[in-house]
Amino acid sequence: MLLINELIFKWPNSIKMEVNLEASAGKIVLINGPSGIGKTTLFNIISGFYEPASGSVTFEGKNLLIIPPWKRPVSTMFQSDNLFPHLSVRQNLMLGVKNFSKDIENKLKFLKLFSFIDRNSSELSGGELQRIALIKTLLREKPIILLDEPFSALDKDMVKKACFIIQEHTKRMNTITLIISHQDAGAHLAIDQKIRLG
Amino acid sequence: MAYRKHKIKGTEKQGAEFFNITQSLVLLKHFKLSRLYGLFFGLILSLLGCAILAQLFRMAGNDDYFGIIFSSSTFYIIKSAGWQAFLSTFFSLIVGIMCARALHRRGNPWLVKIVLSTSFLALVVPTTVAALGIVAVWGRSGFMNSMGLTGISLFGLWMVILAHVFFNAPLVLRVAYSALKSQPNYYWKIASHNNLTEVEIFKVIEWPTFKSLLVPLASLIFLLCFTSFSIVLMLGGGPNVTTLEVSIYHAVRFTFDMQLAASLSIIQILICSVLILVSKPLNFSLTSPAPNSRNTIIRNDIENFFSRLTDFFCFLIFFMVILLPLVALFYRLDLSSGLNLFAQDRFWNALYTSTKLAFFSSIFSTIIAIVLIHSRFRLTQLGSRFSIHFIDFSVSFYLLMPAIVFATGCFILLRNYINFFEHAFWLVLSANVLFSLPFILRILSPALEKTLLQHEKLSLQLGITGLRKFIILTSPAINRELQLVLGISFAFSLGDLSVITLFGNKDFETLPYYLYQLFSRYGASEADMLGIFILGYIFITYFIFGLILMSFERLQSFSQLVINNATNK
Repeated sequence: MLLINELIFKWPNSIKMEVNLEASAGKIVLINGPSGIGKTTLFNIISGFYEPASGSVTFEGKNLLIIPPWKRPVSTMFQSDNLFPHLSVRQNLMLGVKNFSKDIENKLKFLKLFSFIDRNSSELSGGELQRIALIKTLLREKPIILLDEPFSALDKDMVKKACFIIQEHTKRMNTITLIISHQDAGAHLAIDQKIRLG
Repeated sequence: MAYRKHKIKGTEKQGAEFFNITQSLVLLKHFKLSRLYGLFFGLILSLLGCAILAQLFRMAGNDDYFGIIFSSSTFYIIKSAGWQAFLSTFFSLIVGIMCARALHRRGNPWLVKIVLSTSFLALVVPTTVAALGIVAVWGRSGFMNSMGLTGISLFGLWMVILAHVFFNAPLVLRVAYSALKSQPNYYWKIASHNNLTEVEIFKVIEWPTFKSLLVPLASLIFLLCFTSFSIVLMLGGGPNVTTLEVSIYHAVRFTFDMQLAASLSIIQILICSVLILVSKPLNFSLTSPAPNSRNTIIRNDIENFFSRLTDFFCFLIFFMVILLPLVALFYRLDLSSGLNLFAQDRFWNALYTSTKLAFFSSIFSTIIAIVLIHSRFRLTQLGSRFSIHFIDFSVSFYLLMPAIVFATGCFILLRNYINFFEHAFWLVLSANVLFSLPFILRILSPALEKTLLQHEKLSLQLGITGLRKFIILTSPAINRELQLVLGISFAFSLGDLSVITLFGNKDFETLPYYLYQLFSRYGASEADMLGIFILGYIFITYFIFGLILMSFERLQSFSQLVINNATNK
């Protein structure tokens, strides 16, 4: 169970934002709201890259805010800059992962990425990078998955496929999946909960 | 009324025409002199350099030139200098890069400040003072031995390497740290998010960052160590550790074998040329990198026990190699006998000569640099590439020619006309000006060119030109850089022990030369006191230059007023 309680964050010269959330394992939560309201900031706080003004974030009763980012049970797909541009797709995927399993191969094939495996990340298009970042995020097998605009550079067919992978991963691994999306993700995803910021 | 009339008449179109006309007028007529001054200086520098080179060739070619070049003693000198330079480069890179990694990983603002300040200190400390400090720590009767670590007593090759690491590791540290800081923050975010190990971080982020720096840094340090003079002279401890410059010095000063000196000088120039040609230019700034913002960079390897241990040892080595020699001078100082220094006339004479040399050297080199940059700027506007390259060549030519080679060449060229032992002051001054010029140009050029471009149209419109423009508009804007170059050229000149060793005598001594004399005679207390004095003197002067320039800064408020008035009109 992920519990966000009276989490308040504020950037200089911006409005204060308070978030409350309760999400259980195996559920997909869609977070939406106008641009600049703090959706990405919320993800950065859960991942450990920003500190909130007050409030708490707990998972299975443990306070996440006192844990450094690399020890948190969180895997995040950021809006951009998820991969090292000077490394190949394979090298990027293998960072922090021990074996190149059959599952990775299947996911790459499903999202039509397998032929790019040995290409440098800097040579790929925005959509290709986004799909690889999605696979990389799911690979880490953490109980909390945060996906920040995972479909923004994908075409309709790919959105459908990406949604299928997210759905399947959430059910199979029993994860809590939080998604920020401006697109109509609900058309292809079974959203369990919706939160609107602002 | 006249103002109102002008305002009504002056349309935007007329304004644009005015600028076009004035710009072309200015470029073709008004700034003719400023272009010519630079070319004139360039011509003098090039002619002098070429004349020295021609004279060296003539002198070397008198007899058995190839016999000297291919002799076993020349090979021995090159081999010895090459091996020493290789080891110095290797250790400087290792210490500098490891410390930069440790500093970036820890990221504590205070630690960053202390380490970067110490590294800057090491860059401006005169070689003579550093050599003294290194002996005070690692010498036979040094600090390490007095602490009971009797096994640690370095001399000869290792002492020279240690001194070279003292000067070059801080340079590597600053460059490598800046490079790490310039990496996108998301690299560290990904590393942290994926909990990459220390080895993975090194492989994925740090190594690609350092890889591009290694060749330019290594070639620069190798060149500096290969052509090292005063350190090898003071700490080499005999003929086993030598460089071509030291051998030239011996040939001129002790055996008066001018043919050997000329031949070795040519070899030195050839090797330097090859090294400069094969090396890549290194872009670095002497100013400190921006302070670390801990909100954005979170390194996950900070908690690792192994990384804590290696970082601790890196900082320990850094402080032992860089800071301890400077501290040891104070620690070892015997104040009662050290104060005897100030009772000696030789000290006061040396102080007077050094001050005169350093003052004129810093002023002349800065003025020449400003004139050259102005010229380059005007020539760039005209698109005169050949002239720009000519000015660049005339300055960088002296990078190929170490000071001892320059002095030897001048001596051979003009010995029939000038008694250099009587007029050594001018030769030392010229050498100091010429050899600090490339560094001053490097620091001053970007800031001055930017300011010239910014104030160009406005100063023309207001009719502020020439020296008035420099005092009112330009100098306040480049205040910081001016302080830096004046301070650096002053320090460079005050601490220089190269040309003076050839022509110095009891009637013409500088502080470093006097320090070298005391050092050779084991006048430890007085030498320590003199070392501390030189160090303090450099910093006080740097501070005074800052104060003088601050008064110029006040002019900025006036210039701002002028600019505001003009903008309002």
